[in-house]
Amino acid sequence: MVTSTIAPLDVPVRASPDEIVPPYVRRAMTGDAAAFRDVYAHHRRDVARLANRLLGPRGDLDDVIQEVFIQVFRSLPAFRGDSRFTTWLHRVTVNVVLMHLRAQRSRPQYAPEAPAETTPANDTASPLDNVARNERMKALYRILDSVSDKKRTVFILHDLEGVAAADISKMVGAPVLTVRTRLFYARKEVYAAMASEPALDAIARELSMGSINTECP
Amino acid sequence: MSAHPTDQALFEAAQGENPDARDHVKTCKACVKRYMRLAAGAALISTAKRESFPPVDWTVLDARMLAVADRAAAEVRAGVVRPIRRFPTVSVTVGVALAAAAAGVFAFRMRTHSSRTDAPIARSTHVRPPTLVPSTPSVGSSSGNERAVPAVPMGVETEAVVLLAAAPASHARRGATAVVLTGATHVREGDRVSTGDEAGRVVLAVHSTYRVDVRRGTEVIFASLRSDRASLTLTKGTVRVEGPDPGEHGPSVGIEAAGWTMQSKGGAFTAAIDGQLVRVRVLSGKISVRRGDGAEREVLAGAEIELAHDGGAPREVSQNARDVDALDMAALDAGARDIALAPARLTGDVSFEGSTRWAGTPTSTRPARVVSFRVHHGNQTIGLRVDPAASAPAAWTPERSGMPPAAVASREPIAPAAQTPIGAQALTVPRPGLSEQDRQRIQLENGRDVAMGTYRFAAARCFVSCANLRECGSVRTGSVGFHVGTGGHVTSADVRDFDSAEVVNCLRREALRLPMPVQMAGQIHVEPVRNRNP
Repeated sequence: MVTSTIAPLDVPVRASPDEIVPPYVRRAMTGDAAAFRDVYAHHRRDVARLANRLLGPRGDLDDVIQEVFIQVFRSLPAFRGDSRFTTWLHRVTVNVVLMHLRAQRSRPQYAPEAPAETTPANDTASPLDNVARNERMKALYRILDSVSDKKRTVFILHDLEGVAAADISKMVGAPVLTVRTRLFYARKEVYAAMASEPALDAIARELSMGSINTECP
Repeated sequence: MSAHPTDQALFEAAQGENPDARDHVKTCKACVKRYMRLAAGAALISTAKRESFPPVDWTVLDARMLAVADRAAAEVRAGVVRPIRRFPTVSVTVGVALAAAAAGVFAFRMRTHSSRTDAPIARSTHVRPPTLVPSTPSVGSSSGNERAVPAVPMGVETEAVVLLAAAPASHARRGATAVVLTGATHVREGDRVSTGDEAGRVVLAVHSTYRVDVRRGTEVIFASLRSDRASLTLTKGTVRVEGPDPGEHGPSVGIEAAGWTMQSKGGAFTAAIDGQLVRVRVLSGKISVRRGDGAEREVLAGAEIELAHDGGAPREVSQNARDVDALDMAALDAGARDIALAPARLTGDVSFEGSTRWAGTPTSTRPARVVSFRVHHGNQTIGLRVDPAASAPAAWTPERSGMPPAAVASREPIAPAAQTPIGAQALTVPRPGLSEQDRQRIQLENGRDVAMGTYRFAAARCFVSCANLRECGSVRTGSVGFHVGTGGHVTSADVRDFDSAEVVNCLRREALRLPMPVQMAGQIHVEPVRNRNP
């Protein structure tokens, strides 16, 4: 079971006001420059992680992080504190990433953009292992990109990031039932895409997963 | 043998969760390949869960963002940043829908927002279906966060400033005869600006934050030019409106055409009268589209819609709106001095700051920095570098394609076109071993290949959207005939062998946007087009 590193979204029954809207956010809403810096410092890694999950190895993570915080800074006075600040922040992040993906698709690309190198989980891994890992991530996101944005977002948040459906519903602004429906169809489409993706044959061989008797009775 | 397990079951089996499916795979050769791939996919997902995000250069990003944070804080303190206007709540929307139904407006569906949170909607994330909702009176707001909007413009009359002019372009006061438009022309309320059918372009600054790009073959009337809003009536042709980012408060610009009003809400859009349609492309930000009876909808970035003259419902034709003729507006400044340009002694396509080629003869500009114009004709190019700080007027100079080195070095203007017929004089020096004819053929083919590459890219999108509508499963190949007019513009396109009206219209539309090599002027080029969509 994977534990999400994204902060929980639900407002607990007994959540204190400071848990819902941290003091530095309240100060930032009044124009406190130091508080604006705190908002960025406290949440930059959280935003980076979520944005990276949704973007995949595209190499434009910096731009998206920057855009997220620009949007947050611009919109902070509009934040009413009806939900946790992190919920609001994650929703902004999801919106910015989706907008970024849409803008990227609308631009003609005459050559593939340079992909980002993913950080190896183990820094002692060899360069060859890192290359293989990057190739695998690219293969996975190629499959995920075949699904519509809404379904892709829900699939990534739920099955990769481990976010609960109730939290996803707040992040994408849709009812929980809709989130579950999207997840159902997303899985169906992702698995179908995997089953018909020849590039996975090579990965299957690399991962030595061929130890099954292939004889029909 | 039992029925083959589903992909879902095989995926679960790969994770050791579905023993029945796993047992099946052990005895079924047909399922092994699927199982192997799904197991690889499961392994990929498992790997992805453990991945940390790639290295971010926090030093650079931190410095940038902390500066942004300081600026944002200062804006909040100064009251520049205000709460963002919100969409109507569900209850308000339902109420509006009931009112519309009572009025007999059944043709349009409701736009609803199932949830309302305070996440900013400053930038678009999706394109909503093409529906309209009757507009509510704009005399105020029920939400405490929304600013009251006066029903009638209250601003004072203002003027539009000509930032760039390319002949032929004319300007007419209300009820007066048209005169040649120059950089010194003051465009006021009620004035008419028009360009030639085949060439000409005018870029104007409205409200200092908006740019209006009047393309060739266009006539636009500045019906209202007030300090808080401007309204332009498009009677023919194409205009582009480019404003500040969405969410920024200030005056706005609207375009009226054929009974529709397109109101900018930040970002850029184009509006074009195309036969019996008004074609609107939202390139960034969002706009509101309002019909004569007040019904309106918001259109977000990426959407291309068609508005019928008869007032039917808007039809969304694409979610990949582009403007292939866009100029670099940032290079122009309403506060800069107007610089009259020397006559270009070569006729052909013009590019400004390396932008897409367009037809016209640049006559004046207000550059924010050093800018460059180029005029292209065949393999000849002359350039003009305009420095806003320079006191002496700049001269056109030959730029490339085999000009004799001495001529380039001297930076002298080339001989007037009237004395030096294009293509007749030896302005170019062929490379050793390559005849002039070969060189021109190679250039022509290169230009055509690039154009066709661009077209294939656009055509692929036509097929994808068609496939989504399940309209074009049968026909695989067809052809498009490009009729190339003067200046390399495609004047008409014959799409053959595709039976889907959706695809035919899309392929034709994309063809008409395509710049072709000017050497092909007057020719018809037929290109096979293949639908690779399964």
